Amino acid sequence: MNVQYHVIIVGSGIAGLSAAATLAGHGLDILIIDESGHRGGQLLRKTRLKPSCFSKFEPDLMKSKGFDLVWTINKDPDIDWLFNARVLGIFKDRRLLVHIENIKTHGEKASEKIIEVRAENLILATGAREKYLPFKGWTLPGVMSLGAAQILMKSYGVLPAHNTLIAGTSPLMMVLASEILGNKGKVTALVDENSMIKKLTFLPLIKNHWSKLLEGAFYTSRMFLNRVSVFQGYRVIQASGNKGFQSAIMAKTTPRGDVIPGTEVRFFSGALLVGYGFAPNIELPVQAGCKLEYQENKGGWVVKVDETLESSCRSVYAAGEITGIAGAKKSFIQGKLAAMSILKKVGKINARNPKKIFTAEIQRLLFLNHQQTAYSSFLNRLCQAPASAYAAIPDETIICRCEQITMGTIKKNIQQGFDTISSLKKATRCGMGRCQGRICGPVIFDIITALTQKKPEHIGCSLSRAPVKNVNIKAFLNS
Amino acid sequence: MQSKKPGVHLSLAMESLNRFEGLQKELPTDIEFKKIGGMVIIETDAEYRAMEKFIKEQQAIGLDVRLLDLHQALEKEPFLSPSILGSTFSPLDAQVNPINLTLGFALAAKRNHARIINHAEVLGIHTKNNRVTGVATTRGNFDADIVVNAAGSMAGLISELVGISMPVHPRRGQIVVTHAGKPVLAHCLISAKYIAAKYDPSLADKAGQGISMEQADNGNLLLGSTREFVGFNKENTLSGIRRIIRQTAAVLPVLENFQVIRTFAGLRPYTPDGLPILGPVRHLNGFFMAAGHEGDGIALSPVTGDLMARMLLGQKIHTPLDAFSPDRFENYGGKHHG
Repeated sequence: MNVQYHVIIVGSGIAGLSAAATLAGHGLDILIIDESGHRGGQLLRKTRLKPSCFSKFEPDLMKSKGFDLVWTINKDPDIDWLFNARVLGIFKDRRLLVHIENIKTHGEKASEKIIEVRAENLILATGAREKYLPFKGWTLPGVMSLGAAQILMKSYGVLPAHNTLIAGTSPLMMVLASEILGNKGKVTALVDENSMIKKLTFLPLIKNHWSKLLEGAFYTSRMFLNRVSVFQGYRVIQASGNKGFQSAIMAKTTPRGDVIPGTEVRFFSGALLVGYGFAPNIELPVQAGCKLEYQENKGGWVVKVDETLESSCRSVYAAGEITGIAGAKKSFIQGKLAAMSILKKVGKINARNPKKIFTAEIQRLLFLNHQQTAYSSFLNRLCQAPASAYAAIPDETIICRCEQITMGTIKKNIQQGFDTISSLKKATRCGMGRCQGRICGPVIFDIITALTQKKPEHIGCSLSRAPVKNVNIKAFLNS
Repeated sequence: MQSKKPGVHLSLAMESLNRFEGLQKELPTDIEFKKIGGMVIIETDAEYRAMEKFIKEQQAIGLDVRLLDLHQALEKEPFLSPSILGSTFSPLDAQVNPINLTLGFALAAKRNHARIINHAEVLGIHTKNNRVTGVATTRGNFDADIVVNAAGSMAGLISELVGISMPVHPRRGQIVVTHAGKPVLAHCLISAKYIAAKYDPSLADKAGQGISMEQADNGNLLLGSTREFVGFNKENTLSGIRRIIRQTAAVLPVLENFQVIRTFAGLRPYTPDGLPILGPVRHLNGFFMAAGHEGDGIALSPVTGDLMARMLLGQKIHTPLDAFSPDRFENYGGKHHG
């Protein structure tokens, strides 16, 4: 481990890996930092390294690409990996404060500590997290996000429940259902907020993405073959149960997104998985000083970048979901593009990398990157729950889980004029708890938008300060 | 209370303290005001001698404060490190939720028909015949016979708009916030170094900047702080965060079991003599100062508001205010206003 690197990459998901693989072999000191214990982010989580025969039919081509990248990176001795390590903050001159969990040094007891590393160039590939549409009972044990259920199954081999109900707007719902079926679980029903008509209107956006259409067709047929009941144009409006989740009520919605009274149906199930799309993890970019922009088609607040993927902050690049939610392929392209921008900047275009070919490759990547815009727009418009759904959240529903702040309190304060993220936080304490607003932040943004129709730049987004996630004080004292 | 300089400063603080109890009932928010008592932690012999002298002065004007040895200090705060020498204690030190207090004042003002214009940057102050006539902002012009400059650390910039130089400078303070845990602190704690740093910046460099600790109502510990002159920069620094954590954990070892959930930084309005600037500016009629409280803005807010209101209404004031008068910074020039 050095104290300084030519390039530090934060996040070893597909964007981070593709950046590292592109930078490999150029004699640059590179450090990849990831908070999990494995490489490849959510995509490669606990997936077999050597794909079995069956996996060849796996519609997601990006997985095998991911393993190729790891292979390339591992050949370069100048690339350091730091796993189970979390970047807590980014300070002036790209100095990173990194928390390392229990490193075992020779003959010494494992203990967490905090180190500082400096990056001449920084590639932020921090990915995304899930978004929610709160409803009555969404805090019950047994109600979880699609991603949480996926981690349960992939990393721990545990099904969420014997019978699982899946709801939301996200295309990930079908992937999850498919994984549950593959693990011999049962899917009670799949409740899709989007009606068939709505989905068809978005279809032209992905006319150039035939592989995505195939993927969709693959999963749809799997649902059909396994006789999973699929409800389209329905929303879960309440989860209930004694101590834990037992049943959910769903109701039909109008094209505008209002619940139609009298259409309620109750489902009994062991678990409820929900997913309403993704929000970029912008906390670290914000700390680094990167400017953001609000783009509904990209999934909300995203890092503003130029063509080279450099942010408003010099030598800080952003790649993957944080510049706009669009899935693995765009992340793969952007990781490469950011890395090539750095190679160009540090003068690594030489005999091995003739300028002409290099420039042509950049042009190709820019084109591919642009191609992803339409898919991004499809994905994010599909996932975004309608404003009326946020406005209609019942008063007693908890919005900020850490501080137990209800919709009623939030509504009352918005009406009193606390209608920005930061003023509402001060007035109600929403977003001040352990998670520092990572869960409720995007929800509150959508609630303020729905209730006030204010412009995104007037609502703002929460200010991020170190540490991005909680850290033991002990770690500071150990270092 | 204990962090206030004996003299007019302390008398002002004592007056403010009396007003807080009423505010708890008067304001529409729960300001979480509690007289929990406070301790100044003494770690070295030199500090012990300095604090002995300091509290004698405080006692002389009637402040209820006394010295505690290690044993007595640990009785009051069992989680303190046994490596300290002792502390002072005053039952008068109090705690208040600053966000709720500010909100409370704002809502109460609104109830009394005050208009609050948010997101309005002040572009200029209109004057005529050596009198203020209004304020120009990004959200429009507002006519007024009186303008109060209560712009905190930016008060110096606002005075500049009318060519008056007021020595109010931003002094950064960084704070570390822990998760909400079980009660480990019953009082507000500051270190003797804190008092030194507050009143003698040259000491601050030598003796470190001093620490402050308190546990909020919901269990979050607030660990502070730094005193830095870095312009209007509100960023946190690595060295600042590390120093706060090291120094507070040395005094309160139980911190080892806590987690940091957030850090933040703010700007205090510093004045060269450590006292706020309150009152009319002699060379421009209708222009009043109410700024420069450094870290005492919250503690002194009730009495500041009260005094300013009386001044503006031309009512009689019993507190001697010369020490706070803008006149004491004579260099502000007397430029004539047309």
